[in-house]
Amino acid sequence: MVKLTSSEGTEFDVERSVIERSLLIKNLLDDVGESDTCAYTPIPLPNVSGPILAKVIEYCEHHRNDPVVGHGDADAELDASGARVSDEIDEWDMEFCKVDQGTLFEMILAANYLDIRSMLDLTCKTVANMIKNKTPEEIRKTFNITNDFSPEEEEQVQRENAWCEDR
Amino acid sequence: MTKTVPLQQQPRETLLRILRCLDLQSIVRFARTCAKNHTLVFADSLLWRALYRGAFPDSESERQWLSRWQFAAHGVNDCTKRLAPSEAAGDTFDWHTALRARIDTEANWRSGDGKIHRYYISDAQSSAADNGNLLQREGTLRRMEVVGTTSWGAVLLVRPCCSLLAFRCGVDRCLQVLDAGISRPHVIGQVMATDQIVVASGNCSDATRQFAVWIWQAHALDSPARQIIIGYHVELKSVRGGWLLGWSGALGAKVDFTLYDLHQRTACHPVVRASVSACEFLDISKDGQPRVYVASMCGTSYRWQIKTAVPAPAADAENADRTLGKLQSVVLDEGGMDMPHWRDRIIEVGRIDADRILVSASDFRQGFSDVSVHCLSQQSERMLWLQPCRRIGNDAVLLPERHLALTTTTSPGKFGFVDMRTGEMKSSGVLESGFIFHRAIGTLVMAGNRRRRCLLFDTDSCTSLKETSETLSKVGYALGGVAATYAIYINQPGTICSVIDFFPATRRQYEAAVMIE
Repeated sequence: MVKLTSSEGTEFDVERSVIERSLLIKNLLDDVGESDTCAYTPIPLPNVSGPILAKVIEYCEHHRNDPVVGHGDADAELDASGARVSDEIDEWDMEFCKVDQGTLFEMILAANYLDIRSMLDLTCKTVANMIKNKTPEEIRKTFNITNDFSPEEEEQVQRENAWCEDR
Repeated sequence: MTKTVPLQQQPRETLLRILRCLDLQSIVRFARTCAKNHTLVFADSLLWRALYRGAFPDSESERQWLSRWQFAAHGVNDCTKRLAPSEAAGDTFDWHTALRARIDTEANWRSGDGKIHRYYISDAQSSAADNGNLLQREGTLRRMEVVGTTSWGAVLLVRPCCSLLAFRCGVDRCLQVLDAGISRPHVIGQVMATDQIVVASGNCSDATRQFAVWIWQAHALDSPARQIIIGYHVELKSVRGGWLLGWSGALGAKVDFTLYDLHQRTACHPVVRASVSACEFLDISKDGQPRVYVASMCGTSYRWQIKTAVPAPAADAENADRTLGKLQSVVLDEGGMDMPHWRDRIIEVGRIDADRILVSASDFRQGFSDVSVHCLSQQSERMLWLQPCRRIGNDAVLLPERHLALTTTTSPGKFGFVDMRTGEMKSSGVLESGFIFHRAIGTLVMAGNRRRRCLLFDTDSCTSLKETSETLSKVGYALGGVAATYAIYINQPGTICSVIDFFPATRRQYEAAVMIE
């Protein structure tokens, strides 16, 4: 077992094989070695709150038997396949991501910090689906974005990008 | 729950990761929400590169298009910069503008109405005296044929004076072959930069059979930039990507092939020399590294041989003869060509993957020509399949990147697409009778028919997209030009040449780039 401590000091016990889906923690444990030290010395995660860490552990437990997604250069992999439309999320993952927006963004930050590639992909796809097929105004409303364009600027931006809309 | 982190406060890398899950339209709509998001989207070239590659996967023709567009947009024609931007250069290349131009070109090519320019060709000989101003608005006409194309236009040969007429996106200029003793222009093609062409010609009555090679700049066609003499060749066969291939010897005897690197030095440099019994066709292709395919008859056994060769390493270049052993041969089954006649002609040779080679061939027996497409395995030296296409025309085009061969079919008056992986005919019966086919950019090819119209075909769906309203007797060439995409027709051979520009909006941009040069 591995003991993790969230930013508020809450401790979580989790199986090593489960939490090793986090490349950050896996590397940490590999560096420490096979000693029992890790079972008694909590690993502090100051950037992850308790509720988010609970979600992370829930994700890792559900996907414990999945093949590990390559931890290579994520940008290069994305570039090679081109832009992707985000519609390939399975049912459990979809339910897992049915959280409020703030939690979802914190999950993205946690997945990024802990280096859990598949969770990062999942949460990013979920946000992408919230953007997809929406007008600029609908996107602003969804994410509470302030429109700081002047009317002239907005018209110019719209004109410059009309070629994408006409496709 | 802890404090909320809004979308706008996510790290830039995270936001870009989210955007890469989206399609073009959604990304641009996101960019329109506020100034910060606008900057985020349009400042990241890698995002646009991903969008570009998603819409137009990397291929030889796409790299060519990008290279041409680069020249049109930025006037880049330096030899060292001629290639399309590499992946490593992705963060500095303007992928956003390139994607926009590419989408516009594709849309216009598919559904736009081409702007037609018509040219009347005056008497060639009398005009030749007028410093090459061959194009007049009125005049009588001589026999004329398309002998070559470049990224910027096409070159026509006007007989009997053998003057060369250059079209640059509809702007007429004349190339003059300076040596009056040289009467047969054999090879015209694009080399090195997007604005350079090669004319190779030789005087066949000359016992030395010397050939001259001229290199012209497209923006200064009045005189060649360089002239190179190559001796002792029967014919120069092909110029592609800055490599020139010639052969010497006699049919039925040993023939030597020599590959010249036109990039490197003023004098042509032999790189590969190979001996075969007779030449029928050869090809140079792929990724800037030339590969020579030599198809030949093998003695009296009526077996076809396909041989491939790559240039010798630089250290061996001066001892090119030693590269003979590097040739690999593939021998087709004897029955493959239905008792091939000695006049059989290999039309095109291409490679679809690491092992399979496609050969299209025609047979001129019995007063008409048949076309067939052979697929053979280089590794096992076996014929994988044979698609016969009888009694119509003598043309076939291989589109390796699309795994397609466009060819005439077994049914008279029709043609179709052959899936090169299986040999199956994917579709047919669209044309009354296709007789010349040429590939254009991306997913389209163009074909002419006996209704004297030009048709464009989508090679993804293997269906025709549109037919021109022009009635034409012969389709010359379809080109994926600079930013333009256009077709050149010869209407009533020797009378009128029509240039159909499918993307006139960018022609001014291209012309401006050329003029700056």
